[in-house]
Amino acid sequence: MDLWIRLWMVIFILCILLFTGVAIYVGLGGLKDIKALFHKMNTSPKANTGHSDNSLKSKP
Amino acid sequence: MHLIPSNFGLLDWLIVFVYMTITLSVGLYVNKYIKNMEDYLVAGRALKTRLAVATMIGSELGLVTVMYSAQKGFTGGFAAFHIAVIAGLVTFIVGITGFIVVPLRRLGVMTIPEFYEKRFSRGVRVFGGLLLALAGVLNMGLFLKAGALFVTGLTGLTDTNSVAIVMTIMLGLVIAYTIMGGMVSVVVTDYIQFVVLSFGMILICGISVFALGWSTIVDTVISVHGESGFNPVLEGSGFGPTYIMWMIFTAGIVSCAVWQTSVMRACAAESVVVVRRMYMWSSIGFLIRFMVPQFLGICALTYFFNISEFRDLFFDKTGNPSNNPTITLQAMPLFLSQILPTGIIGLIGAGFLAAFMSTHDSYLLCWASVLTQDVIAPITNDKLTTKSRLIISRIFILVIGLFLLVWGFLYDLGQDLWDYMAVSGAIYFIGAFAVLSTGLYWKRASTVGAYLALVVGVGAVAGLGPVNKALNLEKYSSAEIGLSMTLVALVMMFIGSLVFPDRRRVE
Repeated sequence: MDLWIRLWMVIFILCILLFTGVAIYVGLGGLKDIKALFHKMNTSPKANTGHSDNSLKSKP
Repeated sequence: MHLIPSNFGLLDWLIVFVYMTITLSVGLYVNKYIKNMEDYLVAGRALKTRLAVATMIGSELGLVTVMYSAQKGFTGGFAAFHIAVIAGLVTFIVGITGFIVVPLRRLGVMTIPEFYEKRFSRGVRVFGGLLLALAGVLNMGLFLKAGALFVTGLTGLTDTNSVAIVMTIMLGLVIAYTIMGGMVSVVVTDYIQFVVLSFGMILICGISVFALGWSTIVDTVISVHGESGFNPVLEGSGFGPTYIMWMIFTAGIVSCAVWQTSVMRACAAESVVVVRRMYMWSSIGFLIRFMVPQFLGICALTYFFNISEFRDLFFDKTGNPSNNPTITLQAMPLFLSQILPTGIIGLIGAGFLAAFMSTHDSYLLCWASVLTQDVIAPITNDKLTTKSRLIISRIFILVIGLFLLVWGFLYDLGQDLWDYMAVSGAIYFIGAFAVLSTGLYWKRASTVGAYLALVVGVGAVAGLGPVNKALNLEKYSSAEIGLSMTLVALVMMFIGSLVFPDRRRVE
């Protein structure tokens, strides 16, 4: 049981540290991506028929 | 449960109100960017990696996930961590290999049933779409109930009518901005939620460890669960090898590569490179979304076990956790209401409530889109205009919202919430896994095989608590039923495809 206790403690601490790093990276970078998203959607063409690309309709 | 007073005060309500107002305003504001159906459903396929990761984690890190994971931590101890580790590892592997999600993104589909039509037939798309939406709506049927339990536990509201009103207002707000803004508002509100919840959850973990002490937490789990509180492989731990296999399939493969809400994010990504990166980066989020709430559930166990006046509420006379799922679900929010100070509790509460709204918006949009694009549109031979599709999607969002109100307060849970979620989702994903994996990677997969696999998947309903009892199948766990049906679905897919190959392929 001691092995499991140590294992879960190490995994938990490592994951929290890793996630903190991801949260900072994604939190800061996500803002830039939102601006890029709005810019791209502003410059994209208007209405379509609601289909995705049906030219791909073929069996793999 | 209302015997326990909460630290939640007037300042906290104010924080919640301001937070909700900002989120709602942003959700409504981005409506101006919607020009067509692709913008509405997949944000114009313009998501870059970091935003895609934020929205993927933000959407999957919902209040319901937090509630059922905390319940698993409370009832299973540290052994429940295996679910988190599996979810993270499998998502990372899917990111490296691109299993299912990369070929789907290459095909340019918006929903999984759309792939069914490209690969098999329009009939498979309609049938698969209907199953997906029905299972999906059933799967989110208890979201409102879980949310209500959270609000009651955290805020100290005791009047059930007040809780019902709060939840209904929140659902109304979600429906409003989802109807208006589609995927763009979902993405932006997911981002806000990701930022608040990520740092909020890290903060709560720190406060909990500081308040309780790591050694007290470990000692309490040993007292309550013994070795089974740490070793998930141990028979009788409530988990065991079969359960772990079931988790590899459900919490691992399905939740990131087969579940429509995750696949929608892959479909909305800018390119397949972004899809792979998104999955690799999100893997830590998929792990944390289980692990941190499970840890909070363990902390709740520790807190209530060591205070004699509360122990009887959560534990039986032998010291085992209560068998009542409603009580074990409420342990985590009640714990937070005790240890978090005023101000912090309001911010965390607002974050979780935003998470509640965020999950709802994603799921509402997802199932309404599937019903519109994959059931109604094909039936009408794709004659619907973009405007008609948007109107139909919005009507479906409203109807599903009303269903949630009724189902959430009527259904008697009778099992852990996570197990309910896994089983109700399995009605769709067992068949879908067989159809997707063979359809993408096996040339001989046929339409008849696809139908057979989808029909077999419905058998997973036998794992739901009330159905399981009604069919007298209580000796079989939901994990055993789910895994068996998965194997049968794959076998039927192969047999159906070999015996009834598609005519076009034979010619």
